[in-house]
Amino acid sequence: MKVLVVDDEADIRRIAQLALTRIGGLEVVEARSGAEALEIARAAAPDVVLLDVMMPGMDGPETLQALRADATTAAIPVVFLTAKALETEQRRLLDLGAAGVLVKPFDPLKLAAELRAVLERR
Amino acid sequence: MTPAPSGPPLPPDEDERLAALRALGVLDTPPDPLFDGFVKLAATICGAPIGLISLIDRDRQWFKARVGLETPGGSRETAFCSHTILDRHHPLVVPDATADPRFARNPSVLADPHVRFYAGQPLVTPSGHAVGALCVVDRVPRELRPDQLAALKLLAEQVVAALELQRQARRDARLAAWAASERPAAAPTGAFERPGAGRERAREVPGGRARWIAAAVAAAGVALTLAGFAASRAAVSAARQARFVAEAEAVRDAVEERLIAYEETLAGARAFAVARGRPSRGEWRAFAESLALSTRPGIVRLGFASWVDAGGLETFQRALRRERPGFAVHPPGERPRYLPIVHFEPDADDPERALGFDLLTSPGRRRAIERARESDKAAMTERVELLQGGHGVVMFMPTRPEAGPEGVVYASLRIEDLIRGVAPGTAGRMQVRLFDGPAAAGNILFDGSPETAIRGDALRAELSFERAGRPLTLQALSRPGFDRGATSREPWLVLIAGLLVSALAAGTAWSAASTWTRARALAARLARDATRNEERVRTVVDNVAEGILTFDEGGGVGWCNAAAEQLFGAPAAALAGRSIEELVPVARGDLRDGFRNEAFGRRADGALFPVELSVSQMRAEDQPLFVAVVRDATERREVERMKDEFVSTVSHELRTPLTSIRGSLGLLRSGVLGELPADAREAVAIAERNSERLLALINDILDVERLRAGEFELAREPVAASALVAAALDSIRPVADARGVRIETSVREAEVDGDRRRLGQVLVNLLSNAVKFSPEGGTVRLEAGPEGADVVFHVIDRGRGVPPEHQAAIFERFRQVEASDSRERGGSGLGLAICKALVERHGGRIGVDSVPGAGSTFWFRVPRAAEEQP
Repeated sequence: MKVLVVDDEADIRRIAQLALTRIGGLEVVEARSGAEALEIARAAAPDVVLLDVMMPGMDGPETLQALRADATTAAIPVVFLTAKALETEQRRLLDLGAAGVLVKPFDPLKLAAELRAVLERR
Repeated sequence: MTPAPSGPPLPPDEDERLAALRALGVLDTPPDPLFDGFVKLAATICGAPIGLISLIDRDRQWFKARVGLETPGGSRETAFCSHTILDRHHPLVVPDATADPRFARNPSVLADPHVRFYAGQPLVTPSGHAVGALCVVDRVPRELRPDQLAALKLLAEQVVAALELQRQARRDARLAAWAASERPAAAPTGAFERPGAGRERAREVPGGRARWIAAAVAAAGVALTLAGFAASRAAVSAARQARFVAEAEAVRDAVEERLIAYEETLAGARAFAVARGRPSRGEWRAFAESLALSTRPGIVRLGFASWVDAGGLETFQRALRRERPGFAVHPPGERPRYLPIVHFEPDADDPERALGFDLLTSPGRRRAIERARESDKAAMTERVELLQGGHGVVMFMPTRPEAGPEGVVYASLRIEDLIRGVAPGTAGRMQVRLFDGPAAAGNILFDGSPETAIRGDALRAELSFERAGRPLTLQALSRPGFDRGATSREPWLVLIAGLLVSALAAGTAWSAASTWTRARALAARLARDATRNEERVRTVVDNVAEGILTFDEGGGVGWCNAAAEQLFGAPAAALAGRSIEELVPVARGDLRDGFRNEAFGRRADGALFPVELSVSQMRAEDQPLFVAVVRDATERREVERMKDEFVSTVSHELRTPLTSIRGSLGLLRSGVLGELPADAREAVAIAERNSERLLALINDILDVERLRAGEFELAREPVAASALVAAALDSIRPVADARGVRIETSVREAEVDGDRRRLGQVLVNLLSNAVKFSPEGGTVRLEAGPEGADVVFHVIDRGRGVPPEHQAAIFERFRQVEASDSRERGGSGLGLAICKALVERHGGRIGVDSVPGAGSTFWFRVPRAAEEQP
């Protein structure tokens, strides 16, 4: 399984990448912004996008819309990664059409499993 | 021996002050009914036996007027008023002279007239010198109320005005006499003598004009008086409310005390019953007689009932019949267990057939008995029908004798008798009702006077308390008699006093205004004074930040101040006549005396803005007048919003770096990045543990924010208490093991109607506190089980306990018993606040019972699942 990790914070990307590859045994591609995510999603055809919500420029929800608008990426499930833990916020993100919402800070040892669980629940 | 204190210091303006006093020309003049009137009024208003106008001369005090005292004056050194003149701006109040080092050794304290209380208002001339004081004196220690102090000040001002008027009258009379002697051609048309004017004669002005001037003086005095009256009314209104609440609290305390006394009576009965196994009829009677039940109003019966199993019923009845021929448990019918009444006192004859009555067949009694057995304390029923007739409550206490059958002792209480007994004097003053639970629920236990209609301006107080496991509410409403007390007369006294003084001043003006020159000057000066006074009041009212407006019973706005104009965006003229409901959309019925709440105001352009609104009622005879004070709360709300936003931002911003920190540490610990040396592993563990703590704090802050935002939705379902306990134990065990603390549990199965996750959170929080504050190697006990309509959880530790003064506060945000707790023990101080909010969301309650040094029992109760309700 190939995961596209989108986050403007390099540290978070690195942790997520280590967690998903070393512990989860998944393949990871990274993007630093929403715009970059669109490009890479088209080129690399990931199985799932792990998408940060608050990013400068194009934010998470906007990136999700752009992915949906493009036929080549429209079907890729998107899982948000957010620091906002309020239930209303999580519901809002699900209402946008996300496959799931994971909350920061995440446990690196469980990240891959949680991501898999979200995809299985769909 | 303490040396007698020397006299007070001289005021800094002593020479000018003496000059001003001499200039008044009042020293050693004969008594004057005008000033006698002033001191009588001052003494009456203040309820003091002695009233004085004392003038402080170079080395003596001299009384211009006095009531209740024979001496004409005394030495300056020992005069209380010599102290009063040191501060021209404030009254001197000495609540208890024997406790005041300045006066404790004063001869007038130690001997006749035995002064204990003194209140003096300095008499300050227009030139700014304190020449003496208007004072009241009492022989018992006491205080003055604010409205009495205000009246004293008002009267002192009138005394000075009168002294000044007389001085000018004398001067003008001299001028007039001089003028008359200069122009002998103009023969006087009439003449009269004026007080203090000696034999001087003056021309009289035409009678009509003098009357007009006198009328103007009177009008100015009346205007001032009315202002004083209004101020006094407001002070009295506040005092009235406070007095009423205090009186209601006294009744509540008395009721509570009596209930406590009866709980103790019952505890005595239990001790007796336990000691005797099953007491005989004679023993029970002797015991009841020793209590002298007639001295405990409200206790109708003191009884004992015994548990009987179905199988033992026949034997039991036979045994009882030896003592009580014809004894039979009733109502008849097969039941698994019985709790028949065996003894009760007084039991002269038993028309109600209480003997043998199975208490378990009364659902209300059964519930209380169950609670009593569970808590092993006194438990009271809700309102039940008493066997003796009428309604009341019954208090139970279980008996568990070492040997012999188990039973309960009970006391039937008739609440009417109980309340009448404790508050005999309140009948005409307040209507008292007692409710089981909140007043709004309407479960009335006692209604003081159901037939009386309550007046619209009645004061109201609702006071809750808990006795014998039942929440109770005492509701008090004032009755007309409440206002018939002495104190509510004070504003009227101020009014009458003021009017009287105005009349006297007008009389003085009449005599003083008998020369035309003098009259004109006087009229002009008085007009100026009156205007200045009104301006002063107006300035104050217009410069307060709060909007102030008046409205009548129909809600029509009358008058408003500048702040109100600005708040509502319309000039006073446009606001007048509009309905108060348009300006503050609050139900009219609510806008009554004592209303105090947050609301919205509506500006002229329709925009709503948040306000804090309070309403008080003034009454001029049958015309109620309401005063609304409106404070703009926009800024406060904005600050609150910014604070919430800040908390939210900070907590979210903290989560991001924490994600990286925890992630890195987790990866390091997992070993996927390579095995670490032992020391490094330990360092990583420390870092990880502390990042966990930081995260817990952030999560707590977020929880509080969620609760404040009303974002918590409960996923309610029937949950087994045992499941909650098991889950909580799972998550607390690692912490407990680390501290070597053992957790014992005892669960009587029951289902709660609740949110599994949230109740688990509460339980874990309480357990984690208990573990944290337990000594190493100690034991924490967790009990759960049904209790009436609730399931109750107890978390019991043997830690250092919570001092009583902190027991309510620890459930507030950011509270720990000691500030150092956060550092020593960890925790944000938010945990209990979150628990409280969660439990209350469930419609439950949370609390703590604790003995400092011996440990604490934190408990919470939440409703049982519906099908579980007994």
